[in-house]
Amino acid sequence: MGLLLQTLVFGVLLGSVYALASSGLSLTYGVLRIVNLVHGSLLIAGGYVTYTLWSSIGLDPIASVPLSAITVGALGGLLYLAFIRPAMPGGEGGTMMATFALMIASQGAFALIWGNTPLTVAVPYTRASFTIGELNIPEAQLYAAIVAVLVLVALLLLLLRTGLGRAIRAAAANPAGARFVGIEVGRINALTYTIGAATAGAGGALVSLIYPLSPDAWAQWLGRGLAIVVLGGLGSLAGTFIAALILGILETFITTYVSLSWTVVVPYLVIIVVLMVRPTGILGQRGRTDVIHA
Amino acid sequence: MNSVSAGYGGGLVLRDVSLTVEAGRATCIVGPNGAGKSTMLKVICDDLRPVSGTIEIDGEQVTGIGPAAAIRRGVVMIPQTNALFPGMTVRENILLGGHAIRIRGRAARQRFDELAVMFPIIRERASAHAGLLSGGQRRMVEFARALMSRPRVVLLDEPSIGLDPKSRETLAGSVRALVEAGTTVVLVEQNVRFGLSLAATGVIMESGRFVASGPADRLLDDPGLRAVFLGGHAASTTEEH
Repeated sequence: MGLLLQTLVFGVLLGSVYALASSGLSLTYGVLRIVNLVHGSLLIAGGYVTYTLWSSIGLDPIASVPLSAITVGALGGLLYLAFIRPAMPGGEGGTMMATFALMIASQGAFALIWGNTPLTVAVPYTRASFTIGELNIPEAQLYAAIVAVLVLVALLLLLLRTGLGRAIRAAAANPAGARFVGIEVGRINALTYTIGAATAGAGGALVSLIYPLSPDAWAQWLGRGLAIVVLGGLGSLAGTFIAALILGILETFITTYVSLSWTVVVPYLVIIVVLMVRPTGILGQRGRTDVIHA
Repeated sequence: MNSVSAGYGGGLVLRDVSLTVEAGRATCIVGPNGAGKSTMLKVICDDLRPVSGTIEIDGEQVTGIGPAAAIRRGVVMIPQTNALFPGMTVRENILLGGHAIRIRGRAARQRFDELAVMFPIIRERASAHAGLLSGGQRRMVEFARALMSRPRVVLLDEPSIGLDPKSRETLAGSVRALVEAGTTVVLVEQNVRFGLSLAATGVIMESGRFVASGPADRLLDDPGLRAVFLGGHAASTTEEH
């Protein structure tokens, strides 16, 4: 029973970080209808930014979350304007090819800047944990999960309670109608992509606390992100959060009760099974209007 | 609008049209399908950039400034269909009407309350998703939303389309109230009788050109117009362009 509860707690903590890591992917699809294949790379870029700040000036990864979010958000905004927006007239296929090219190029860029050797961020609390009865709660995972939830709440409040959030949801729901209330849809699209990239940057900062960073790590995070947004219902933030918790718990249980090596295939199995059984994901049709309704 | 030509993909829909609309009055543009009525409204609200010609409001150039800037200068359009955001609440839809002029917080709530007096439906269904409203209710919400920015000019594209007689009457009352409050209204209607009954001036359009105009009540009684649009007989007595 103790192991079961322990595994569940690990899964929830991990799932919370996964939720933040994949929220931008969901947002970008919900508003711009872009399957943003470079999302995993943006997340790893956030991790590398955090690693650089930690190794050069000793900045704690938690403290570097805003800096990482701003840096990767700005990078994402530039990539959108330079490469992705010009591909939009080609439809979803065009933007998919553009983000695919960026995804491949990012691996080379990471290797050039940070090398091929996996890098880890080691702060004093990396191996520390709180003990409550039989339960061990790793500090790094706990802090990462708390910050992830806080960032997600901030994202939800932005979408639900601000004029910008309303404009984003309106542009997602009805781009043609949005123009008639004076929403500049092109500007909103660029801002949304930037916000999605910033959430990847924030997620990357937290991920660097838990996982090593390597130039090819984007693949694992893209796989997880796609599994989560497919399971949650493409474009639904609420669905993304639920799906991230499910995937986090599933991976932890498989690691504990089956084998660590099987966790690699879990996201891809999830994608295949969901597409076969319920292609609309957990929140289905509702999710799509919900998105960005949140 | 002065000598405006506009169209889509190289083809011209409007051909060198000029029109002056009297401020604080309603003008109704009628004409058959494909005459260019909706295109003209899109040009005025700057959703479509003209190939040539200029648009002025109270002497101020507004050509090519874009829909957001047009709203800031007091021009709003209520398009024919699909203007609301169905997954958002009625309240959120209304508040979006103030997006371009950045009405927020208390000012936005105050304006919402003012509009709720004119359109009680927006208070009664404030928390309902706009996608759940009937056609008539949607029209009222679109109308209220357009007024959020206190426009000087309201452009209405086929406002009566899909409405039952009762909703049409409510809509007519709203248009009249708007004009009484000093707002300039330009509406395009296929329901000629309904459109002209709301307007002081009527303009007839055909193949991208204005072919006649005059006082709306005279046009309504015009045998030529009746022959074309209302199934009557006899020749036109309207002022020819």
